[in-house]
Amino acid sequence: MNPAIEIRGLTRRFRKQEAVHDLTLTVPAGCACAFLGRNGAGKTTTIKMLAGLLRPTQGESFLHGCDSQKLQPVDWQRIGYVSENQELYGWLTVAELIAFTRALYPAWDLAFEQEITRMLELPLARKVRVLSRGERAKLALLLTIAFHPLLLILDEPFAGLDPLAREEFLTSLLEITAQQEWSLFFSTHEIDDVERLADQVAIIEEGVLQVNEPLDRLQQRFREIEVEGVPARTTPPPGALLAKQAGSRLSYIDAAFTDEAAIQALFPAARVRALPMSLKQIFLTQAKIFQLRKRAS
Amino acid sequence: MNFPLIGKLFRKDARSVRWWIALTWLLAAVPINPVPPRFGSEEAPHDWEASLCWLLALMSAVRLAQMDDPCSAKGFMRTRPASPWQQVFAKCAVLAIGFIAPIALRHAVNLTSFRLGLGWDDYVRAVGLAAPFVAAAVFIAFLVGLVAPRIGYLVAVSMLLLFALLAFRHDLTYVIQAIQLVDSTVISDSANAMIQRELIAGQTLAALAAVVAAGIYASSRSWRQLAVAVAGSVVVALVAIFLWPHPVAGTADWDRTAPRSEWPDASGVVLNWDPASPPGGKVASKLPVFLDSYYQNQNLVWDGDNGHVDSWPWDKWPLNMLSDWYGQKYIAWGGTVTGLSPSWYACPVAFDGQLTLADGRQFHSQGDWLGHTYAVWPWPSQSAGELGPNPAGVGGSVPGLWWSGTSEDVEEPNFARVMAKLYNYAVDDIGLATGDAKVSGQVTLEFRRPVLLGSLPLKVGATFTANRKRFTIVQADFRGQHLDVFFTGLEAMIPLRGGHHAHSLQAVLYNPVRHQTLSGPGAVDLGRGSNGDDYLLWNGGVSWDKESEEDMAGHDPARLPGASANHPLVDESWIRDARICFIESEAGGRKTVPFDFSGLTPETDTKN
Repeated sequence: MNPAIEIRGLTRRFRKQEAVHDLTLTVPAGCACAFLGRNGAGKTTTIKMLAGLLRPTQGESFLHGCDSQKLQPVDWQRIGYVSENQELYGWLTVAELIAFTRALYPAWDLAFEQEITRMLELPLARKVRVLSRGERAKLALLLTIAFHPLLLILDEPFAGLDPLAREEFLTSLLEITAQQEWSLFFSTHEIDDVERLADQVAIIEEGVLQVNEPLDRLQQRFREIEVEGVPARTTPPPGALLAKQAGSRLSYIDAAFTDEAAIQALFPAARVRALPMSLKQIFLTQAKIFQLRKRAS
Repeated sequence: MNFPLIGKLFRKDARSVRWWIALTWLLAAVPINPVPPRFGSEEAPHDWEASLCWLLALMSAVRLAQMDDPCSAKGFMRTRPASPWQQVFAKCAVLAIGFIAPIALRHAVNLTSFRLGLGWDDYVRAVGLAAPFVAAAVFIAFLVGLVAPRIGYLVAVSMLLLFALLAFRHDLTYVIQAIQLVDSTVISDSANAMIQRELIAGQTLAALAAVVAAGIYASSRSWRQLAVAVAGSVVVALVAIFLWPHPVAGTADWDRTAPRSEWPDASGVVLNWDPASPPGGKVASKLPVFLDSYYQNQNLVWDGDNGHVDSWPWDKWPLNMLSDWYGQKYIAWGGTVTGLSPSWYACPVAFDGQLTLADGRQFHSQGDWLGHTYAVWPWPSQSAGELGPNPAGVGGSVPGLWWSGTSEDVEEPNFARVMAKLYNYAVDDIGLATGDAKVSGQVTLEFRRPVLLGSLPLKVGATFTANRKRFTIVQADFRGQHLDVFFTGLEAMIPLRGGHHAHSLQAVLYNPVRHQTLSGPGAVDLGRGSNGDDYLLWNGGVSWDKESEEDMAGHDPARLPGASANHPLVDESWIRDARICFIESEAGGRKTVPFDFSGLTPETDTKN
C-alpha cells in the first residue's frame, strides 16, 4: 500500500532564498501528521508543493502514489485541501456553495454533509462573504471532508480562530476523524491542539526537517531530567541539552531517553527525576537548540 | 465532456456576473438610432450602448479570469476535481451567452433598422463576422484578467475601455462594409473573398487567444511563464487587429502606362488598402478598382465626336489626383456604392470645384456624375439652383459657361472628359486660350460621397425609412419601357431644391439576381408628381439605348460595372426582382490640384 504522503529531497528556492531544503518525509496511510515549525520555516511552501500548487526546484512528492505535480481532477476526488486563506465564492450562499461543490464529487456523502452541517452549525442561508473567519474555516472543512477523502491536507486550519471557535473546530475535526479512516497532514502553530489530533509529528526549521517521528515515540524520547544533590560544577552527561545548574540541582533535556535507571547510574549519589515533556515543550526545546547551533556556527 | 459539471460551473460563473449580464442585455435592447451609418465615411455610428456592452463583456471576462486564477494557490477550483478545460469552457459559455449574444443581436437589430434590404444570409454573415472579433476581444480581456493582479487593475480596466471602443468601431465597420460589398454587383466575388479573409482573421485571432488562455490556465504555474505568454499573445492579437489591413482606401498597383490589354482583369485587381503604405506595399484585398480603370479606359480610348478632344493628356493632367488621392480616398467607397449603381452611366462621385486660370480669372465648375449637370460659371457665383431653373446653353442667363445635361454629356460621365469639356468651353466660349496658349491654374474639387440610404423592393406597400421619415410605395407600374413608381411621404424626406438637377438624392434600380443596375438620366430619376401630393420614381426608358450600345462597343463588358456579356433587356421579370436603392451624396473632402494646359490644341467647340 502506498504511503499517504511520500516526499523525497524536496527543495524550493525563491531566487537566492531557500525556503525548503532537501526535505524527505513519509506519512503512512491512515496516519495524522502534524507539520510544525515557526513562521517562515517552510511549512506552507512544502504543503503547496505537496498539493501541486507550487513547483519544487528539486525533488518530488507523491500523494497516495500520485506525483503531486501531475495530479489530475480524478485524483482530487480522493484528496481534500484546505488552506487558511483559500478563496470561497462570496456571492453564493453557504447552501449554494455546498450544492455547487457537491456536484464536483461523485462520492459526495449527502447524509454525512448534513450531519457535519448540523455539527458545525453552519448558517446555510447566509452569503459566504459575510461569514466570520471561524465560520469560513468550518465551511471550508465541510467542503473538503464531505466526499470522504483518503488524504486531508490542512494548512493552518486554526489560524485566526478565537479560542472558542478553535475548540469547536478541533472538536469537530476530532469527531469526524474518529468516524473516518483517513490520512491527515496539517500545519499549525497551535501545538497544544496537536497532541489531541496527531499520530506523527514533523518539525521543520528554516526549511530543514528536524524531527519526523510518531508523537508517542517523540514524547517517549524527550525527558526533562532533574538531578538533586550533585556537587558544584557537575559536568552534564553527553547528549544533555540545555543543561543548567543551580546550587546542587542540575537540570537538562535528554533527547534520547531510554529509562531512568540509566541516568541514575550516572548520578548514583543524587536523586534523579525524569519528567515527561509536552509537545509544546519539545517543540520549544528543539527551537532553542536550533538557534544555539545556528549561533555557534 | 462532463456536461452536468460544466452546467454547474456555468451557473456558478454566470451568477458572479449576473448583474453585468442583465445590464448588457438591457443595453442591447435599447432602441438604436435608425439613421443608417455613413457609408463611405470613416465615422462609426455612435452606438454608445453597444460600446458599453463591449466594456461590460470585457470587464466580465477579466472578472471571470481572476475568479479562478490558475496561478493563485488560493483559488477554490485549483484543488477540486474539475479540469481547467471544463472551467474555461464554462466561462466561455457565460461570455458567449451573456455578452457575445446580445452584442451580436444588437448588430442584427442595427442592420434591420438601417433598412438595407438585407436577407437572412446577411444577418448570418453579420453575426458571423462580428462574433470572432468579439470573441477575440473577450479572450484578450481574459488574458488581461489573468495578469491584472500583477500589473494593476486600473491599467487593465483602462486598456479594456480603450479596447472596447476601438473593437466596436472595428467590427461594425467590417460588418457594414462586408454586407455592402456582398450586396454589390460586379464585386461580389471579391467581397466574398474579403469576408472570408476577415472571418479567417477573426477566427484565427479568437482561436489563438483561446488556445493561449486555456494553455496558460491549464499548465502555467509560474508568473514568469504567464507574463511572457500573456504579453506575447496580447501583442500578437493587437498586431493582428490593429495592423490588419483595413478596407478604407485603395489604389491600384499596376503599371498604368502599360497598354490596356496588359491591365489586370478589373475583378482581380489587387489593391493596397492601406493609404499610409506606398503602392506596392502589403497586399491586402482584392476589391476591384473598375471605377479607376474605367476612367483610364475612357481617357485613353475617347475619340470624341468631332475631334473635340482626342484624349486627355495624362502628362498634363495631374493624374495623381485620381490614383493617389481620389483613388485612395474614395475609390473603395465609390466602388462599394457603385456596386449598387454600376451602370454604364452612373458614377457615384461628383465634384464641385473652382477653376483658376493663369490670368487670374476664376470659374466655378460643378459636376454631378450621378445626375446630369455640368456647369461652369464665374467664381464667385451663386449656386446652380440660384441661377435659375434652366440655365442651359453657353453663357446662359449669367456671364460664364454652362452646359446642362444632355444625353451626350451624361452618357460619358467621365471626370477627365468633364475637365476636357471645361477646358474646351473655356477656350471656345471665353477665348481664354487657343492654340499654344499657356493656360494653367488650379482646380479645387469638392468630392461628394455617396451614402446608401437603403433599398426596397418594387412592390406596392413596401416602406422605407430614412432620416426618421417613412414613405411607402403606393403604385408601381411597368408598361413597356416605362416604370412608374409612386410614393407617399417622399416630400418629408427629400428636400427638392430647385428642380431635380440640384437635389442630392439619387435612385438606382438594382437587380440582385442578375447583378445589373440601371441608373442615371433616361433610366431612373426622381421627380415631382403631377398630382402635387405624390412623388414618383420615373423611368423614362429602362433599356439600353442604341447610342449607349454603340458606346459600349469595343469594350469588354465583363470588365465594366453592371454590364454583362449580353446587354440587359429589362422586362417584367427584371423589374420583379429589382430593388430601388436610394443614394444620397454628402461632402467628401476637398482637394486643390494644379493643372497645365500648355501644348493642348483644342479644336473648335462642337458643344451641343
